[in-house]
Amino acid sequence: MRCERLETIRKIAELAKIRLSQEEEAKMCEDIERIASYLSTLSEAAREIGGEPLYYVWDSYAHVREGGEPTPLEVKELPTARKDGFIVVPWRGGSVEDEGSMGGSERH
Amino acid sequence: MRTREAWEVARDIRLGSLDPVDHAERILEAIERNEGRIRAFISLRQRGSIRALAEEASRRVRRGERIGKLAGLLVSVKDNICTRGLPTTAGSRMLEGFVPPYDATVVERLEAEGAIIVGKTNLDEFAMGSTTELSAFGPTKNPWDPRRVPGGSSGGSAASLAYGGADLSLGSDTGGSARLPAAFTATVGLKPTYGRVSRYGLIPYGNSLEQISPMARSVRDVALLLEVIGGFDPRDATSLPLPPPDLLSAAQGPPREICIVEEMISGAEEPLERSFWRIVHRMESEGFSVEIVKIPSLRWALPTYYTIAFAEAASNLARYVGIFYPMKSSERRWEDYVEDVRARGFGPEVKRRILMGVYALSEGFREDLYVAATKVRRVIRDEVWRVARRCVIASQASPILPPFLGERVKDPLKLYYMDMYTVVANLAGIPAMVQPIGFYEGLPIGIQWMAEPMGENKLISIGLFVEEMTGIRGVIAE
Repeated sequence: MRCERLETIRKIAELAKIRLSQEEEAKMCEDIERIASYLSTLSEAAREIGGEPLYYVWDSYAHVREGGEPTPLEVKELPTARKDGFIVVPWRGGSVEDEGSMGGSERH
Repeated sequence: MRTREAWEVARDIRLGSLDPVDHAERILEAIERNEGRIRAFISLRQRGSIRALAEEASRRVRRGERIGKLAGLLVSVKDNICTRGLPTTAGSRMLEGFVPPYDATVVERLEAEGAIIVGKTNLDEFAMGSTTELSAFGPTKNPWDPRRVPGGSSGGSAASLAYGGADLSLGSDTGGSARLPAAFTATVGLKPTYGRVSRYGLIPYGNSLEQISPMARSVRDVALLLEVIGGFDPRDATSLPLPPPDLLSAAQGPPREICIVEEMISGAEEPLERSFWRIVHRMESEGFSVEIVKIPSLRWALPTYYTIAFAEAASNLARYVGIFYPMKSSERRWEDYVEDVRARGFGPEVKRRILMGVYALSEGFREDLYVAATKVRRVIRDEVWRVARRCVIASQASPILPPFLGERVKDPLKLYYMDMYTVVANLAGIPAMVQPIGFYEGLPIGIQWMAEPMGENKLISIGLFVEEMTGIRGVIAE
């Protein structure tokens, strides 16, 4: 039987840069379907309870360093998009010319 | 069989009535006798090197020089904690051949107090597992019954203690990885308050959840180890600005109020249930007040924990692309190179968790999975803190007795259920300890205690009381 999320799993594996054999892919898809179904109870729980996310257990006591406020950045704002769906990260010093070169400074 | 506790060995070495060389030899003999069967270690320090360090300790004692709190004690260290000059693999092919150029802060602190690192212990790959079957270097077996697992992921550390292959051990605990093995091997594992122990040099899996955790054969030994490794470290941004804890000299009587959280006892196998209530009733008869409470949000604890752990794992393991660590590829195209390295370097469970993490963080699922989990985590933390601030929480450590090798590992959900009682402390960042309270047909049974943040002293004092009651401490499987 074909696993319903197979296309999603392939996309996720591509993003995670994990190559799966056909056999691995089928098993992974089956497992991930079961796990995802188990985890899906959380969205309802979160709607029921509302509130803010907690990323760090001491959040009430943590102090962000001065000038350390994060700046939100949308991926679409990045200047250099590549044809295969990857982007060049500008602050890592990459440039589109480096495309395909492993030894260069480009990172995805 | 009963053996001497580490604090007694340290005392006798200090007093000159025990030669560190003889002591080291006894431990090395236990390793020789058991290691082929149990496989607790991934790598062992050379005998000559251990002997030389023990001889140095012996000389210092004879000359009347200052010696550390752990002088002459042999400590095993989980193989996801960096040790300068000693291989550190995290149980993964990805790191096979990696020799860290620096020590984790905890290792520096151990050696500054005279401890001798005896070897690096087996674990589920990158600490992702509950049985120590998922190591790239093969499974570790439970010294109490080698057909069964020792729990995980710090199963190598627990097994090394359980057969007498170390005086003390360092594990790590992301969702119960030091406590579940303690429950399965009649040892003691204490996950400290989040930020109490430096994570500098710990190969990360779930940063917001994990702590390096002391493991030993008695409560007093675990306290001794935590006193040495705890305290602020400027190299870890999440380290709390606190001095090393004083747990033994400041020990007071145990707190008399115990809360039993309904959600943390239901679902356990019958022999575990019976042992748990036997201890609780005995404590009641000793004057402890026992209250049953409910924490409704705990019904979501396991999915919350796993969603967050998956997401953090995916992020942490993104660094393994064949550049900084030993595994390489002959592929020439960047994408092929990375995919090849990750396909060969990671085992199936690690791949599964990375994929689940990327899934939970990806557009379209993020709000319903990762963000939802972080919101539920806040409610769990607040509700657990509220209870832990007025009483010490008693709970089951594991829903099952140690399973047979291969029994759980094939089904990921069955594997994850083993952590149902332990993940709560990681989500809430509070200290939790598991200690042995009995045996069922030769298999160890543990109990879990949880306290308010920074309440390790409460865990130690209640643990010492329970040891007095049961007489179970310092036991080995030989």
